[in-house]
Amino acid sequence: MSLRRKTLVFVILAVAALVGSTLWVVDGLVMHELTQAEHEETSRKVADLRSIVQRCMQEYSDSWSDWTEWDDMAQFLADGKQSFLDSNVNLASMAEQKHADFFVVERNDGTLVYATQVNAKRDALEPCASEFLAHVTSRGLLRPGESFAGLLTFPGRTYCVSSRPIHKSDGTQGPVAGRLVTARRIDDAWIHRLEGLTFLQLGFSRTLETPMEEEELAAREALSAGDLDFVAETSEELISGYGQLPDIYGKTAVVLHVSRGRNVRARGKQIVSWTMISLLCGGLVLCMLSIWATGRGALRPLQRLLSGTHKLRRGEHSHVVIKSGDEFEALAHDFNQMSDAICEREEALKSAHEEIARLFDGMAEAIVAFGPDGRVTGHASRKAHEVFGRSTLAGVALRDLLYPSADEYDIEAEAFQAWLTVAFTQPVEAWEEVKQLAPRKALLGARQAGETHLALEFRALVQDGRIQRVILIAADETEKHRLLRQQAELESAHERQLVAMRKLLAGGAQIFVNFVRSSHERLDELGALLRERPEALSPADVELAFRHAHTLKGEARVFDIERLEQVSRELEELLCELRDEARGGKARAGARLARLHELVAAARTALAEAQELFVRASPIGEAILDQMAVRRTDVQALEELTGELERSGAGPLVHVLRDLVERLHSRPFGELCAAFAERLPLWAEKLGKRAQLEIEGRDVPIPPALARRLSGPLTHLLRNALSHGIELPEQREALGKDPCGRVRLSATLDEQGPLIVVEDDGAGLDLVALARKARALGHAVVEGEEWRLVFVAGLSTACVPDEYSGRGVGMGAVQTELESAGYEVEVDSVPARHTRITLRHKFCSLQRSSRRTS
Amino acid sequence: MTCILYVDDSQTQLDCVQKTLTEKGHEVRIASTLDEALACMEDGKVELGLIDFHMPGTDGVQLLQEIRARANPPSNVRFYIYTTDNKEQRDYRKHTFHGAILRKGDMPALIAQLEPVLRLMQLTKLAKP
Repeated sequence: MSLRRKTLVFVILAVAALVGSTLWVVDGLVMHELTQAEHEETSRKVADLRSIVQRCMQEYSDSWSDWTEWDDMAQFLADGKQSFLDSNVNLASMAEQKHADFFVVERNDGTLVYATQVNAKRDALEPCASEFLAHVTSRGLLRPGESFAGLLTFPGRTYCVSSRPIHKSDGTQGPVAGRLVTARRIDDAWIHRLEGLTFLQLGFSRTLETPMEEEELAAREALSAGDLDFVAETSEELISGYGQLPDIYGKTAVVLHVSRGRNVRARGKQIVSWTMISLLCGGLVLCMLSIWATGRGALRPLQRLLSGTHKLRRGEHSHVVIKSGDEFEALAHDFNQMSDAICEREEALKSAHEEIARLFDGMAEAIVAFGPDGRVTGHASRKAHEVFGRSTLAGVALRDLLYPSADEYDIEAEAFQAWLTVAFTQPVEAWEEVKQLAPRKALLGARQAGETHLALEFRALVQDGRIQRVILIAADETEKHRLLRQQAELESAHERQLVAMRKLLAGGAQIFVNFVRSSHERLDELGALLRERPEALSPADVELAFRHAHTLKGEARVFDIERLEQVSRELEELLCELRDEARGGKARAGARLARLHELVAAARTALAEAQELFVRASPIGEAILDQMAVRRTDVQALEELTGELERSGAGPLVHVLRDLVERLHSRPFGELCAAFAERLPLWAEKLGKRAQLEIEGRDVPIPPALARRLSGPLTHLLRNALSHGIELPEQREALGKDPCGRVRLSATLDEQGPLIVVEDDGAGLDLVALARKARALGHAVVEGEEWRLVFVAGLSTACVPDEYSGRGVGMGAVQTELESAGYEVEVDSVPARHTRITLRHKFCSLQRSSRRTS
Repeated sequence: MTCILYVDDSQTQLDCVQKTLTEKGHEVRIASTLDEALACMEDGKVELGLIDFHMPGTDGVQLLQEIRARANPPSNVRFYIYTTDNKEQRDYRKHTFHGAILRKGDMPALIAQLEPVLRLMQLTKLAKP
């Protein structure tokens, strides 16, 4: 509600209250007083009327004085002669002159001298009614004493009675004492005459039996209770007063009724009405004057100030002019000063804001600020617009910017949303902890080509002890990621090539060829199943197909053939769906059949590409495939044939042939060791140790006799090296060694064949302890040859046997196994430095012994 | 450090995941059957469950239902399916999983996916008074 309206309402209410209260006072007091006066006046009138009536009755009584103080009358009382009656008592004298309705002369002793009454209807005098004479008694009208007037009522009639003692004209008592009793009926004429005298509208209730109005009944009740009078407001125009007159016995005989017009009151009401109208008009004028004065003195300056404030709020410069010379002018002056100050500060803020925006835009990072609702507020840097690909960032939810493709179940987005909630609800002191739980990076856009890698950093803006906003500084690391990925891909490709080459050189090529062959067979079978029973594959068919796809996937993974693995996975998924359907009956490939065929064809292509890759990775090109094609059984058969030729005494060329076959049948050292490179670290880990295997001389050919037996002894020697030689990482660190132990497996070739060394940089052999244990068990110990004790069954330096060593039976078996191939084992160890076990051909060993002997 | 339960029928996968996550500083409990999983959860320390989908004679969904019925884990323990099956997350959520972690074959991918999960768990702890 505007101030103008409030003022209007206030003034109207105030004036209404003033007028209302005045009216109430005027109407209440004045009218009350008027009514009171009206009542009093009516009471007075009733008293006057009572007095007049009594006076009239007395006058009536007095009008008979010439009769009661008359000698003839005194004589008539004594003698009762007819002559007196004939000359004096007749209808004319009674009815017309004296207005008497009853005329009774009676002696005080109770002797009735004469009694008559006027019959108005017949215009005649007739004997007095006994009901009247009943009152001419010593208690009634013959009451002794002076003359008196009073009222006497009969049913339906009221009479004014007079009782006067009869004297002689000189005032003395006549011969007999008696009284003249007369009565005159109070009729309408009498009342009319009285109204003429009093100028009042009068009424008489002549008897109690007369039917009465409700008001009159109330009056009678009040009067009978002793009140002298009773006043009632009969209507708006009339007020009535009631009084009573007793009969000669003192009982209520007549109720006087005076009705008066309420002219004074009506006039009073008129005055009050005019007063009210005057007050209303005055109030209206007062209202208008007040509003005009308020509007001119207060509302107009306020309106100007309000307009100025609005302009200021819109960011416009505002100046208010008020020349009232009062507080409003001072207020306008202050307002103008405030407006100037605000504009000045806004200019400064704008400049600062522009400066910050320029700084933001100049930075390489995407910078945005957001509030507790997670939406961007304020200025965002140019880089932010560029990175997030939006022209407007204000109001956008940060979750949508960082995780644009996330659905409601995305874990990253869910975690970020949870972080947002926590970030703004935790106290400022907890910010460092909260910051650690924020996402560190985000990936925008499609994979590979369109993707943007962001490194995220969040900083809190604290105000009034609370985190009001948080700034996100997102560094675009896409280029860095691209370079890293490129490098990783190069390294991965290089690694794959190395692995492929290693596998090929280590005999993996045969496995690979077998894999290619078996994979082709699987794909053939898969294709056949799909061709033969495309619309009704049995559960067994689908299961078989699924297993082929599953195995293909697993084997492709072993050979790092990513494309084949991918195709096989899709194939497996489709077949998995079919398998689920097949459990409920026949599976129908339906629309998926074409896709299955496509996938089988794609798998063949991927397989061919993989084969090509392996060939390219081989240092000897496609020749590697030729080597793979050699069947060792054929070579073995050739070797046997050569032996037979030797025995049959063939020429010298057969020795050359034998050497050739021997070389052909030999296997590269690397092929025999390939599996150990992966296994040894796992074995070490199970012992709580760390170790790596180094293989040297991978290309050294190992004669078939040794190659067939070498795997077991090497396994044992390597496990021994881990169990007895390599120390626990913490022990190695304490000894100043690398925590990761080193085991070397090397092969060299000399004229007599390969020389194989298994060496570790571990704790070495405790030959002293071994010799002590041997002696304790009763074995002979040759000084300087203590190392030979490692081959003695039942001797071991391991305190607790484990799954790899420690029971003292292994080295003997190793020696026996190698001796059967013509090789012997030598052990060389330096405590805390190394243990070296050498496998060499016996012939070579004999030569060395002979050299030592000579 | 988080106590993680990993259920899988492949010993190789169990070893591999346990080794990787242990190196990251977490306590990893491995199980290949329902009974083993229940035994791992007995002391109530498990905070995160990672369950393989394809298992002999059962699947991850069934297994989780059994775990929930018999071990009655508290509501703050989160369970994720670890699968190659790239279904809608909604499908797994219907079966009371908190989500799915895609089995991409390599451990870095697993760690990368677990990272927001672990953050979410820490945030939940932090948010609680």
